[in-house]
Amino acid sequence: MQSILRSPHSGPRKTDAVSYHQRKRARDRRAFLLFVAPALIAFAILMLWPLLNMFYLSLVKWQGLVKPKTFVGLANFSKLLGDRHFLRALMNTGIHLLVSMPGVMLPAFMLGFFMSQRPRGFRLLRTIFFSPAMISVTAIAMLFVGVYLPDGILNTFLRAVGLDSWTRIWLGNRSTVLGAIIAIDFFGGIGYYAVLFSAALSSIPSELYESAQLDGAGQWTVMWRMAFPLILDFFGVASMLHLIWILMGAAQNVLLLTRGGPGDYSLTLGYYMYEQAFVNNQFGYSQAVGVVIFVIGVLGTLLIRWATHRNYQQ
Amino acid sequence: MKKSKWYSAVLVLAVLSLILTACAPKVAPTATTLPPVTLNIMDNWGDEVNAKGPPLKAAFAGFMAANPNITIKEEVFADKDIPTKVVTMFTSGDEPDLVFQNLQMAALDWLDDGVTVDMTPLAKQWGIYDTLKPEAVAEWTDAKGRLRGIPLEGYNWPLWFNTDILKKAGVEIPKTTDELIAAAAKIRAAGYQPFTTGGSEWTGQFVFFGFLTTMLTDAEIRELYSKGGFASNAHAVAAVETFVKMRDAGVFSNGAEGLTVAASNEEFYSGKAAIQHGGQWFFAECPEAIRANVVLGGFPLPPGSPRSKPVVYKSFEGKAVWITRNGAKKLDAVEKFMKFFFTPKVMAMFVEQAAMGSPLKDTPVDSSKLNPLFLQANSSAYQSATEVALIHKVYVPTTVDANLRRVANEAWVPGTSAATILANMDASYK
Repeated sequence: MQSILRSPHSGPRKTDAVSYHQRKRARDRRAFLLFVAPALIAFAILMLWPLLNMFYLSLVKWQGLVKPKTFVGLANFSKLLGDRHFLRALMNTGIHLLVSMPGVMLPAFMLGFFMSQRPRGFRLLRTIFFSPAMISVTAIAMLFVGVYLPDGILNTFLRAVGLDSWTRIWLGNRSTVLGAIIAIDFFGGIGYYAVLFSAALSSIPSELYESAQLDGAGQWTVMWRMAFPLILDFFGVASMLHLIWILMGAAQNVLLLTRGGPGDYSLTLGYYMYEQAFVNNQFGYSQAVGVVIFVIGVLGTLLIRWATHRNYQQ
Repeated sequence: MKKSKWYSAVLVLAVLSLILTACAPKVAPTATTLPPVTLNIMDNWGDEVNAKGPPLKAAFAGFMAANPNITIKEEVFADKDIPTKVVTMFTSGDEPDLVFQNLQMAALDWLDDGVTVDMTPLAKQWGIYDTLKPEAVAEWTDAKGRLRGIPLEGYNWPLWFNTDILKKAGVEIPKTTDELIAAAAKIRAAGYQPFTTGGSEWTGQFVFFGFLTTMLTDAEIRELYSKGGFASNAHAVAAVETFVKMRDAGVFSNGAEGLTVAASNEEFYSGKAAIQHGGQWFFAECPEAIRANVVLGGFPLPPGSPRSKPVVYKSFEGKAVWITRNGAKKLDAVEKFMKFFFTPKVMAMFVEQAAMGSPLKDTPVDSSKLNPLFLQANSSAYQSATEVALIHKVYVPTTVDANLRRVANEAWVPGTSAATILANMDASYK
């Protein structure tokens, strides 16, 4: 009886609708969790656990894979502060970052912009520029051994053009070795990122450029005032990738070419971490270096994010 | 009916085969009836460029021909990488059965860590122990009296003097560091590099440590390299100061701090440099034209040296065959291999083809096949003109090794002072 007297828009029907939506939301949430669970589990096992383990290992003394671990608190970190090799590696990594980040990313963007204009033969250029990315790190290192040898390509070229006094043992000279290692980034990095930037820039309608040029904007202005802001987010992501490469990946070049020498003039944090673990058997200490690299990576990523993030609501 | 006949035939056959098997004469298992075994061996000799590669391959082939049920599976890596690989594989229970490895880095801890087994009882039981040279056994026996591995490679590690270049420069083989400095200037004036070494790699490290050895007694070498304290040892201070003096006086090749082993060897082998420090393992690769002019000698002595003659290294720590935990589970096959391998016939192949020092007391060789430099290094003239010093590296703790080597490479960089080098050497031990 009561139900007959109720208005069609009265409480119970509204409650039904609310509970339906709540049930649907819960069902959607369950489905969402079900679908993302494999990825979350994989992330936890493959990323989170090793990361937590790195922090744990940085607090222990562990002098070999088959040796016992002893908890030493922050002793590994305090030892880092007095370790001149670590400080040298920190400085060299800082120089590497300061030179390679703008030195690779900005020319790569300019080259990418050039290719996005589809000049004659741009497909061939794109293939040529991308080819270093398809060569293994070892092969690139061997290539540069040939370049930097006392009688290698570089010195032979310098002698041929009458610059004999400029010849050096590039990988053996303390004032040139770090530059020689960083230069490899330019070979491998500029073309690679240029192709990525070119792909990102090709999604921008050409009408935008044309209208800007009608308004009197030159190529330089179009490139930096229009194209660059439009792919700023992408530029930020590519910069983060390059940052991570410098911190970790570039250690491979040091390993293959100089092992940090002469002395410690080409020692970088990534290589020092490897050396402490697998040459010196100081696994705990090595992970303390790993934590420093991680912190630098996080700070660098945040800085890049801050510098390249656009707020569309402004 | 048909079915029952069939069953009867099968039954009769089965009974007959059982009777025949039972009556068959008892036959000892032959090689082909033995269960197959695979011996996993890790070494750094088996590549194509190593002079010891061909005799090693021949030994493996000979062993497998004599023991058809045993297969050798060889893995070849650089010797500096082998300690890490073995320990990593050990943690997963997958280490090779036998390892050919010298006495350095993590290998120094293998016995204590249970990676390898004490060879003393096994070598005695197999009758190999008494065939080995006592000095080789002594070097491979640790402080607890355990034999780490069966010693395999002995070596001399002298300086090589290209007398053709010395003659052109008008100098004799230097016996003192002052003579070396004077000779270096004349060698440079004649258009050659004086003393070449891979200052960025391990040969540079051993030249640096070799010059230190000229000022240290064996007791000091044992003490200092075990615990540090170089800056407070007068002999070590004088040695490093002399090294820096020589470096700054141009005794070593241009850019020695950046030379690799390959680049410095090439400098000597192509007749561009007068002196190098090279172990016996390099004898086989020296071109004949250069070899004809090479006279072997020792590190010249600085003023006040406690040594009486130029110093050389001579050791058996070059290589031993270690048995791992996994190898100990296949002792029958391992015993056969060891008994086959450590025989005069097999060792003679290494001596004749690769100029290796044999660990056996008696290794008859065809002297006409021996490398002239090998003959020179074993001649009484060489032995009476040089003094053998203790090799330091077996006393350096595993966790110090890489840092100390880095300091040795830094010592080659112009501008690095003796005080800095000494302080850094001691810092490696902290």
